[in-house]
Parts: sequence; C-alpha cells; structure tokens
Amino acid sequence: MANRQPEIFQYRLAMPGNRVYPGAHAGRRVSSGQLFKRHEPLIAYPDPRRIDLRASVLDVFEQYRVRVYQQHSLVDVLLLADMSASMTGDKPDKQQVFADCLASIAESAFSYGDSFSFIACGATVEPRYVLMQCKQRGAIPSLISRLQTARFAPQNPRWQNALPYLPASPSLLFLLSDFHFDLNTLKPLLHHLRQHAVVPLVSWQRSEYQDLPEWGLVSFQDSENRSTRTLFMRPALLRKIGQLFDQRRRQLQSFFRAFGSEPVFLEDHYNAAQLQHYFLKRTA
Amino acid sequence: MLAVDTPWLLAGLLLALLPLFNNGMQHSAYPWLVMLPVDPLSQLISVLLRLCGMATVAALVLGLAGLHQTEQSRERIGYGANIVLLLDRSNSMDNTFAGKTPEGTDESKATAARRLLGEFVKQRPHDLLGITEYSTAPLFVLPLTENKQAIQAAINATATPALAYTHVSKGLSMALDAFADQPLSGSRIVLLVSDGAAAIDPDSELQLRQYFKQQQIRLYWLFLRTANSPGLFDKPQDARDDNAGAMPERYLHLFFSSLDIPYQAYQAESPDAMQQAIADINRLEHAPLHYRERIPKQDLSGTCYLWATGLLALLLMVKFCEVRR
Repeated sequence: MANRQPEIFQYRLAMPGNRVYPGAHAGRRVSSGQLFKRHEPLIAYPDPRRIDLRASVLDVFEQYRVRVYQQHSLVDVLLLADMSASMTGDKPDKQQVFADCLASIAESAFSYGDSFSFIACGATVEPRYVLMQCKQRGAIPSLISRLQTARFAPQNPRWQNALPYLPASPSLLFLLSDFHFDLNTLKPLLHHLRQHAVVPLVSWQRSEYQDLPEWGLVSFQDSENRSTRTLFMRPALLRKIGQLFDQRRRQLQSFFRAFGSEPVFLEDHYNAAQLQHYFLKRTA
Repeated sequence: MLAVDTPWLLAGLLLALLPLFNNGMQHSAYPWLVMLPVDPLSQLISVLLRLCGMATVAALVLGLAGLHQTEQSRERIGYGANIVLLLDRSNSMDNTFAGKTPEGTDESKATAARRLLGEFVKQRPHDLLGITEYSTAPLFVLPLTENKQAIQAAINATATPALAYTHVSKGLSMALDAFADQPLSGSRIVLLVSDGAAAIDPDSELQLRQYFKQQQIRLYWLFLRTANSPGLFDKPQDARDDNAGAMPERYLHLFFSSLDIPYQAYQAESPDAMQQAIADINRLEHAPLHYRERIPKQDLSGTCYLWATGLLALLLMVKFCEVRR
C-alpha cells in the first residue's frame, strides 16, 4: 500500500500566507525573493546590497531606499481525518483511499518543503495517530502501517477533541471523512477553522449507493451503532437510494459553502489529479 | 383442550425468541443507515421473516413436546331417539318365514332382520343405539352409542349361527338396564325383534313392570311370525289352551299392553311386512334429542411438523433470495 510512489498535486492558497519562515507559497512577508514589492528606508531593511541608487536620489527626504521583495513562505498542511468505524469498516477499498490520501497529501506538502500534520479524530484523539509539523518522509509509511492495524471505534467522531491539536496560524487543512453523521456536530469545529483554508474530502464508496444489487434481500448493519435494517432491494428502491445520496451531496455542498469551502468527493478511489484540478479552479 | 405429552420440552419455546435477536441473515456493513430510505415493504418482509422464524421454532418444539387435543364432548341436538335393539337369537330365527331352513334365495328371519335394521340405522343419523340380544341367557352387545360403525358391526355380527332358546324376560331386563344411567333426553325405545315368546315368571313380571315405569320406555315389538304359528292377536279355539304356556306370544302381548306404557306391536309375516313395520317406527320416532357427542383425542404433532416443514421451506426460499455482498 505504502510501497507505491504517492501521486502528488500542487496546491496554492487563495489567501497569501503570513509565516516568517521562507517557503514556496506567495506570502505577505517582504524580504528576499523574486517579486519586487516596494522601496523601504535603509534603516528599516538594513541590507546595503539592495540599495536602489536611483530611488535614493529621487527621494525627497534624501534617504537611502532599499528594494524589498515578496518573500515566499511556508504553509502548514494538516490532515484531519475521521477515525470512526465507517471510514474503514472491514472494506479494504476505504482503507486504501485513506492511506492513499494521507500519503499523497504528505508527499505534496514535502515536495513544497511544507510541514505536514496529521490528526486522527475518533471518539478521542489518540497521540499514537497524531503527527505534528512533520517534515520527514520516513514518518509517513510508519504512520500508515500503524493506522492499518488501528481499531476504528464504532462511534461518530468527537470533533471537539481535535481542537487542542489545531495550529494557531492559518494553514491548509484537509478534512477527510465520509460525513455520514449529523452535520450539526461538525458546525462548532468549522467555526474554529475559519482562519484556515479548509478542504473537505468526502470519501464515499459507490458500493454504498450505486453498485447495490437490483433484486434480493440485503441486511445492512450500521458500522457505528450496529443496528440492522433488512431491505428488499428492487430497482425503484435503488433509484431512491441514488436520489437520497444526490440530495446528501447537495446538502454537503451547501453546508460547506456556508463556511467558505467547497467539498471534494472522492468516490471509490483517491485521485491526486482531482485535487490538482480543485486547486487550479479555486485559486485561478 | 390442548395438552402436551412432555411438558418440560415446552421450555424450548424460549428458543422461539431467538429470531427476534438475529434474523439469520448475513449483515453487510453500511456506514450510516440514515442514508437508506425507510421502506414499508421491506419492513413488512423483515417482520414476517422474524415471525416465520419464531413460528417455525415454536412448531418444532410443540411437535417434539407432542401437542394433542384431549378428548372432548360436544353437546348436540338432533332428531332421534335412544333405541335399544333387543334381538332374538333363538334357533328359529335362522329359519325362513315359512319355518324352513333357508335354501337358495330364501332369506332367513335373522338375515332379513339384519338387512332391514342395517338400513334403519343408516336412516337415523342422530340416534343413540344400543344392542342387546337374548337367547337362553341375555347377551350384552353394545351400550347406547352414536358410533354408527360399531352399531353396523354389531348388527352384522348376528350373522353367526343362532343359539338355543328364547328367554325374553332376562333380555328385556338387560335392555332396560341400558337406560339405567343415561340422562333422560329424547324418547327411549326398546325395539324387540323376535319370532317367538316365552312365558314370563311372576317375579320377573313384577320387576319388569317396575323397570318399564321407571325408565319411561316406549316399546315396539316386531314379531316375525312364522307361517302357521300362533299370532299375537289370535284367540285360542279351546279355552283350555288359553294360558301362557300354550300361547306365550298372546300372553306376552297382553303383558305389554297391560304395562300402561306406549306400546306398539307389529306382526310381520314376510320381509316386506317387516320393512313396513320398521318404516312405521322410523316415521314415528322423531323427537328432539339432546345428547353429547364425544370427540376423541387428536394428535397435533404431525400438524406441527407439517407447519414447521412448510415454514422452513419458505425460509429456505427466502435464504436463496438473500444477496451476499
């Protein structure tokens, strides 16, 4: 699973970053860089290499002017993942999506030199499955292998528990879940995430709404609360389930748009090109 | 009343609750059941499946425990009578009406009586019938019963060769005894079928008078008269012959007439006349009759197993409809 070279995507923030450390993303800091921003007095930026003689001569206060450039800065990338049972269940497909997504986002962050954080939020946030400000590639495969043996609690995530782990500075935050829970429980978290660029990743399996059998009796068991429901599948019911999921998709979109983010639907597979496309569209 | 042979096996009925907890289907994990629509048809099927499972287990357990219906009696009202047939089994009954041994197509009096009584019984579905026979000694054959098969069999059993003489008073006592512990319901009839009579000694006479009164009996005497033998209503030509020893038929008839009970005598000289007499009785005796019908114990475990098999077949069919994912 982790042996494959993860696909990467390029990301940009719509809003420039404000981190002190130089990085790969356009920021609000001025220092050394490629893009000229403005002139500053030498006393403010005491770098004699960048004295602009022409600007100094033209300065009415007869002071030395220094050229300052836009500094590219770091962005913290954070993956906040839902660790409830429905995210893996016993289906390898979902685990694959989870691992692929984690590896790809981490690799993309490392390719920019950004730091990557991972928080798995189930009923609690277990420190074993938390990775903070990581810049080492080697940490990712071991985290993935740890996650593969993790027991995903049959309980909806308690997002409140993740709050202490969230960074204070604006970051790029991916929120990976199937969002199969009451969205009202997510509202307090999203209020706290306002300063971050949030990208909700909705991981759905087509086998849950499209690739169901057309005829026959199926007994479904809820991954979280273990209740069961027997359905007599028939084409009309299948259409109805499809409609319900379409409705849910629209509901999720309008819900996240209210918080200024647009969800990405990962159906069956994780595809880095999909995220690439998403960022091109968002920040064009 | 339902009952079981081995009551402790009924504890197994608790097993019938199992389908409530597990419907026997393989569950497939689903992230959130709220996303699935509530489907009334599926709910109905689900409930029916559980009920089927419970019924199957219950039927199997009841079958094992040996469910049966206990013997019951049902109160019924019919039109008919309590009839005791008192049949003469003396030698002479095996002769024809002409007083000869039957040859070829000739019918003996006993055969004719058997045939006609058989038909008579068939026509009266609600009667309670008992059979008593007499010869030298009385023979108790069948108490009052509604079991027509038994009655027919008892009538057919008179096909065995007849016995010795005629001792009518003992037979009458026994026939009357048949009513002794019966509830007084409908009319009570003694149908005496004989081809001769005998003198009744004074002791028996006294006793019989008492019995007839007590039991409120209606008496029919079907006298099968052999040709040239003295009839019931003949008067002797010679006054000296006018005694019970010489003319027992006449004196028995006189005795019955003096009993002060409903009494009718038929003197049949041929099978046709006999049939006429029986039809007459058949017509006369149609009073409402109150009686209890007995329903024997019925084993229901077979039915239980049948149901269990049917339900299991149904559940198996449903199992084949199940989709495994």
